[in-house]
Amino acid sequence: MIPTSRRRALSRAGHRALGGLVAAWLLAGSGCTTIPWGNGGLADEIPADARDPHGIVRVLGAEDLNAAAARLTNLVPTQWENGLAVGGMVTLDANDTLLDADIDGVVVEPGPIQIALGGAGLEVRLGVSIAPVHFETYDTTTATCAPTLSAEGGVLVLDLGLVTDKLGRVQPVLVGAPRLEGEDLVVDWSGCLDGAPAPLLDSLTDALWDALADVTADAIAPELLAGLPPALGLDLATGLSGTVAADAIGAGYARFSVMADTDDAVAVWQRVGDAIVVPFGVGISAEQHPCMPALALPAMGTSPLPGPGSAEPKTALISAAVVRQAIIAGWFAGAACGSHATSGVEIPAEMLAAAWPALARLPAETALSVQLWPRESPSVALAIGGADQLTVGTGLVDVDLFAELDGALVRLASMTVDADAVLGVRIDATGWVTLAPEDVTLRASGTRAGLLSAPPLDAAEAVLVPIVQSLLSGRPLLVVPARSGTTGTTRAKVTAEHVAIPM
Amino acid sequence: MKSWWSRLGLVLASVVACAGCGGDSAGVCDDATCPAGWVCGENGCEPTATPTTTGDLGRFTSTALTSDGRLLVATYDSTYENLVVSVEQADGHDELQPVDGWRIEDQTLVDTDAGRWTSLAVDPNDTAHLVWFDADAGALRYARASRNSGWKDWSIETVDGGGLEVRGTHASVAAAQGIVYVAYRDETARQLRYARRDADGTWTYRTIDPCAGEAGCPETGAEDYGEWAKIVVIGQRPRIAFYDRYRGDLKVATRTEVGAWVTTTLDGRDLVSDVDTGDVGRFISLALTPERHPALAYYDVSRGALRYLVPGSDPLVVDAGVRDDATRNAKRSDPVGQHSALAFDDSGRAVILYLDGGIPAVKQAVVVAGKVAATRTLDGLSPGAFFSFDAYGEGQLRGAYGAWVEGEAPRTRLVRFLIPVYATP
Repeated sequence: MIPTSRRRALSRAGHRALGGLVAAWLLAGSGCTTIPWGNGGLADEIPADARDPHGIVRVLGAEDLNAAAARLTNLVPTQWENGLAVGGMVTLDANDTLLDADIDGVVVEPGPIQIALGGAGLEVRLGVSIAPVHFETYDTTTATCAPTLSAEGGVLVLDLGLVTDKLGRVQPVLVGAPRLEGEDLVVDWSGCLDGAPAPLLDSLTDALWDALADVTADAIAPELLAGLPPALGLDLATGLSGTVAADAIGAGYARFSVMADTDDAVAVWQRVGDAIVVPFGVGISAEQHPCMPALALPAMGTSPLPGPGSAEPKTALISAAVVRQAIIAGWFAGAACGSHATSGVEIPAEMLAAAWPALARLPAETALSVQLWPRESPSVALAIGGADQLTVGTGLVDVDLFAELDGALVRLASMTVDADAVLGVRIDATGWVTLAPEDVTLRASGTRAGLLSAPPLDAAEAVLVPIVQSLLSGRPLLVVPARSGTTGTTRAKVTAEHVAIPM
Repeated sequence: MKSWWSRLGLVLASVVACAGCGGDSAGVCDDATCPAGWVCGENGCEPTATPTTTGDLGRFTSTALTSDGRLLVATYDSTYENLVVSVEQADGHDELQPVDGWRIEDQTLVDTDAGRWTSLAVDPNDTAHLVWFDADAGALRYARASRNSGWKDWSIETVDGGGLEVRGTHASVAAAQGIVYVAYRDETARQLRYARRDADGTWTYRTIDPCAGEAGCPETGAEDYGEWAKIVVIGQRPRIAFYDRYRGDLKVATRTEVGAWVTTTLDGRDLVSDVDTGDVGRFISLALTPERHPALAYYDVSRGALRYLVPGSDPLVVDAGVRDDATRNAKRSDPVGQHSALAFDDSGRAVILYLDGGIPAVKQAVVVAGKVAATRTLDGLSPGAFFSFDAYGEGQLRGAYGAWVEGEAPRTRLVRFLIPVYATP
């Protein structure tokens, strides 16, 4: 008989569906190493005060469960195209009457999958059918008879709990015994156990279906349980470590981890109204790039879990602390220095010549580029001054304005500014979450000559606003799974506590 | 419109009124009877007046010293789109002479754009050899002039290109033993070309192969190389350093003893692991060490740095462009090393002039025995581009470049300089 366990945990690296903000910096940087969970060392390097236990919260409602069920159902034709052949000898125990049954040749045809909230967490219901098939029963070693079993419209019911492994991955586990349910689960004992009382046959029948439920669950569980976290968007545990910016000055690094709480005493999920929430701790740390002044990365703190009013299903909520820390960590690691953030952003000089007439002397089609040298940490605020808006204050930044003259990159002038950018957060159908500048306020506090004379302060402001807008417009923040069935771009919800990313 | 057009107009107007020229039986000069390039003047047919006025000089500057240390400068007049040559006279003053940038069709002077990508060399006989790009024709041009004429008798030849084939940018010339060697780029095919003029005036040409053993090279339709070409001749064997834009590599093509050409990668790729190590090789300057080995200064685009290389040794970062930013209490970097120019002084030190695009300023670096001895900002020189110079006397450099006019950049002016070698920081 196939060994049956009542509690199974399966390990498999998830596809890390939701990259983080730091991941976006890392992806944009010159080098990125994804540390597959397995050594666990990376997370240990992130100090506790740089970790928000509720950094990302996955909110699951009925729609999420239905969507996950549909995704898992799609696995059925590929995983079990020819049905699930179960077999072996099972022992049927009916009121102290033991009977061995050889179920070789039984083929279970999996059907649609449904997922619902259950007492233990989730209840997974897998449609099954079994074409009529004989099986042998044995009394000790002698075949006694060959009854027939069949199932039409049956359901294999699995009660699942959610636990975490030591690496912070959310794992579904079977809780309690799997069971087969249905009106048309039939065992025809004709010609067998002549004279046996009906209650005994009923007990043997129940024992047979329980045994088949066990055997089927054992056979189907590896794929089913492994597919569940990504289907639910719970395969978020990850660790990234890499270079954010590397250049002639030096290099800056960042570390980023997402882990569900590994403390056995802490529940992996909580019910909030009609939804369940699964919090993931997010850790972010950075090693400073030498282009940045000596500044300290602030502590993260613990963000509140969403309440009934804010636990909106079909979302992953990124806490304000994580958004703030990710931007600051990227800044620290050099993402804003030099041309790391501005590479590829060029503004035609003639576009800005009205504000700064000296630019009109440049040859036609001269493109201006900028290099940034921050003096301070940025500030980040969510939903200040308007819903669904992210406000990033750059702090003081030295801005060098460059142009290519005679084939050479030459600094035209420099300005010291601080800017506040009010940004919308948008997500497109391919899953890219990008920034959309809605308002840029910029204050110039100094200008310096380069090849051209220093521009007046008001000219500097007028020149830089469109450049900052260009810099921010469409800048990718992170990537989430592509949203099938959607088109165009939608706006992500931003509250004071979090950014809600549609899943 | 060029200012000399007005003078030409006067000449042409005078034709109408002139009398007794061109052998006309009625005594009235007719341009049509004058030889090509001549028009009627006061005394009959006279050579058409060619431009003498110059405008903003300095771009595409190339210099050479004569045997007695006189400075010859070829440069581009960006106002009038002419090639202009400056010759230092015996009394020390410089005389400017527009050499190309027009053509005469019948009796008419037609404005053209010529004079970018100049390269000037003086051979041991003090004959000056000059190549440049004729943008109107899309052709490489060559001219020579002798000391006897005061370097004024420029006889111009079209070397290659024209028509559908635009050839002649990134030109570089060398002359040895009566033979002229030229490297240049075919803009149409995006390839490096090589031309040789034998003593009898015969030109031969060829395209240089970009491949240095890379897998899949050449890649049809993708190759793009030959910018910043520089040529030197060692023992009658030319070597051409060039930039492979497609791969971001610095390469050198060498003519072997049997006449074949071999291309090798000097920087930008780890030859053992075949890993791309960055985009390097723009603004190449190529010079010979006192031991007559090639040496190169060039720009590292990926790191915004000046690099120096003697093939066979590791590339040296001469100036990384990194400096302390006291205002911010942090470091910053600037693009340094663009428009680099390299020469060896009388002490065998490698001296490099280059642009610091961040300050912006002209800088000088000195490399001794494979190590950076000094880098210094030359405060006396305005920022600019197209540096060209030679060692002069003991510990001095003579040359010229295009300085951006202060307060009027990007206008340029031609600046000639005589500066010391600063061998200590």
